Amino acid sequence: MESAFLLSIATFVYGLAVVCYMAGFSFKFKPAEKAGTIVTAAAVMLNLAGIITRWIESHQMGIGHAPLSNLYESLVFFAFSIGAIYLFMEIKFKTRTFGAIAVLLAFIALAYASLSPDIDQQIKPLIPALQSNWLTAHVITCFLGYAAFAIAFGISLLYIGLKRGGDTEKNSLAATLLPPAEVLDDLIYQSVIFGFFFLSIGIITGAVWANTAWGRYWGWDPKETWSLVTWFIYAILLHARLVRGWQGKTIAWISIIGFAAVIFTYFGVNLLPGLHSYQ
Amino acid sequence: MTESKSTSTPAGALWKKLTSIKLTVWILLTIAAAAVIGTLIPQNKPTVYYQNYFGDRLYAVLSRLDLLDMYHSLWFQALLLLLALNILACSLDRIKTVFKIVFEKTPSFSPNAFSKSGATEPVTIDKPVDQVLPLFRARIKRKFSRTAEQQADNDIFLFAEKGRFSRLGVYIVHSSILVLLAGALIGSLFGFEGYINLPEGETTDHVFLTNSDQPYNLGFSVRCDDFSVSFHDNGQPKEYRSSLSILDGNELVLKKDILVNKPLGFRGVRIFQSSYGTASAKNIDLTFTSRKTGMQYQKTVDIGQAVNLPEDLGKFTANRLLHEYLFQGKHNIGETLIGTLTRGDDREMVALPVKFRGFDKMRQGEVIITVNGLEPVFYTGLQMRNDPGVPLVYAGFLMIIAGIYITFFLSHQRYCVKLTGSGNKTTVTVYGKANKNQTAARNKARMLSHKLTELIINTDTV
Repeated sequence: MESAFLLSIATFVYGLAVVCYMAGFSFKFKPAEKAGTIVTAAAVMLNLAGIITRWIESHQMGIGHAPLSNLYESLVFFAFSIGAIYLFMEIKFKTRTFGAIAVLLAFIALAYASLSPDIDQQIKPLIPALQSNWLTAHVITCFLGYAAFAIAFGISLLYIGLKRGGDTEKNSLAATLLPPAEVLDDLIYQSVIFGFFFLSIGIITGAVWANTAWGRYWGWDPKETWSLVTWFIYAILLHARLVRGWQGKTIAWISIIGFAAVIFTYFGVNLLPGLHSYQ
Repeated sequence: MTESKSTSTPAGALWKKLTSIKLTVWILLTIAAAAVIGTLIPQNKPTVYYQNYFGDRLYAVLSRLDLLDMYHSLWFQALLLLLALNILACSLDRIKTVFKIVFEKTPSFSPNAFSKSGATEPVTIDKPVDQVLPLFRARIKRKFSRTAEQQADNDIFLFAEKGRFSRLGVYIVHSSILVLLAGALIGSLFGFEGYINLPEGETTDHVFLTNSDQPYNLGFSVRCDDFSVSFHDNGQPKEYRSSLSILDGNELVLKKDILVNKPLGFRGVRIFQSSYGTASAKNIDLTFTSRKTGMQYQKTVDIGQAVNLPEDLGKFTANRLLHEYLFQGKHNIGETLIGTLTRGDDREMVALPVKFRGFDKMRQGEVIITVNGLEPVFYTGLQMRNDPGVPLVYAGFLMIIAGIYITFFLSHQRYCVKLTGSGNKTTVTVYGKANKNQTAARNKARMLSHKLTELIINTDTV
């Protein structure tokens, strides 16, 4: 399959981008950071090309459907979303300092999809429950949300790493390499609101779909429940920040806990019985 | 609202508690924790399941705590109610101040309201103030919903604002949750949810309610004309299809096929394809072998029919088709036809597994019966629902999306353009402030300053 080939190249290109960002970041070498952006853009394009090719391949097999139907396809789209949202944020906030960690997460997602022997890469027809136009809207919005939360998680790790570097910030290595704490703090907030917006749409499109397919918009299925738990955690983060004015470390920790809930919603729920387990 | 209630009175203290963000966080955490427990303990399973899984004593405790049908328990619903009260109280508590800002007829602008931190670098233009001002004024009036002008000493201030209504976004989100909960309440009070397994060719005028198994009269009838299941080459199911007819009395009013994602709606009741199974069989192809003569006879019967056998071997009736059958009470022999062999006064029950052809030889009877094949008669598992709360819930969904967008991606921005004239020169400083994201407001002030000075430069070149 050509799509699998394209995607395994994309994996390596993401890896290369991480190396560029790391080099630029560690040695304060601007050209390497700039190369990071270009290489990430190339990886995102390859990733997208892989998705489109897989879509075409499924049509050639006569079972055409958007490649968003199983664990492999969702991981591929997850990696793409992380890469694309990261580039968007890099341009919008004009900083490359969190490039290494954000693109690393995209790399991990795609490497896991491409290399893990447990993940079935075959293109299969959709089971009747998934044969709906809502599938595309639901999966895309959910994963844009997950990806934004992944980036917030990465920046939160950086933030906590920065603070761990000691209170005498000026002496610590991290402090000389990272942007001021306030900038990271603002980046966490910005990526969380982006993720929150898309997770909300993701849950709602899922609810509308459930209502058209099964006649109920909410059924406390484990995936539904866990996505609500995730939503609550980020809602707490936003309230703590906007109403209480909490910043910094606490927000970074809540964002890490929130991402743990995302990961459980994504993978852990497969261990529990329900409609969403990837088979 | 808040001024009238001091915290010294019990009512005031209660109000303060109810409007605190701390309470919100605790409610959200408790609901989240409870919801998680609900995903770890399987919900709404039969008692036997729990007794095997947890043992009798633990089962009794869990059942007592309502942890086995948790989401419908009183305490869980009380938590949701508390959340609703908290949201309502917080909104009422704060909305007065916000309404004052949002619906103010004549907003007062003051240069003192803008701090230096949101100011741009002053730019000096080689034009007198009276030439610059009309251009700036026109531009600002075009771009902003509200503007004002003030003069003080040597300075002229142009004020502009937009996004005032974005302050209401957060109330849209919060009230959407109340709307959602109201929709859910209406659904659970006035709606119903039922199921029925309907064999092909049969008609029903009722379903069984999911939560009580009681029959519920639909007020019309549903007939299953046909059910079919198709598979992909790799054995994956491709499509489940039920052809249904809706009958009002004896009159056919609607004929439609339903699929998993394509239900049908009739008089507010929606009918969903939910499951299927084998109800019975027809055209059962049987071979009867006489032990005495070795002759073989082919017969075809449907469930419920009987055939007379030659050679005085008696009569065979096909009673039922079972999905699985425990032979001698312990060996599962799979899909099995249960029949009765009648010979004079002798009646004998025979179990004929579809998969094992020679099975009946073991019975040592006068005739050996083999099932060669059969056409299954399916039943379709239908879910039927009526939920009058759905429009409200959908309205809540739209409000949440719009509200979150407004709350987080729009802001109430105010700008002040200061023009200081000295002779033929004008110095321009732009101040910006917003109710959130001050950094963005400062960037926008910079943009505005840039756009305004560009205006002058452009008129110069023309």
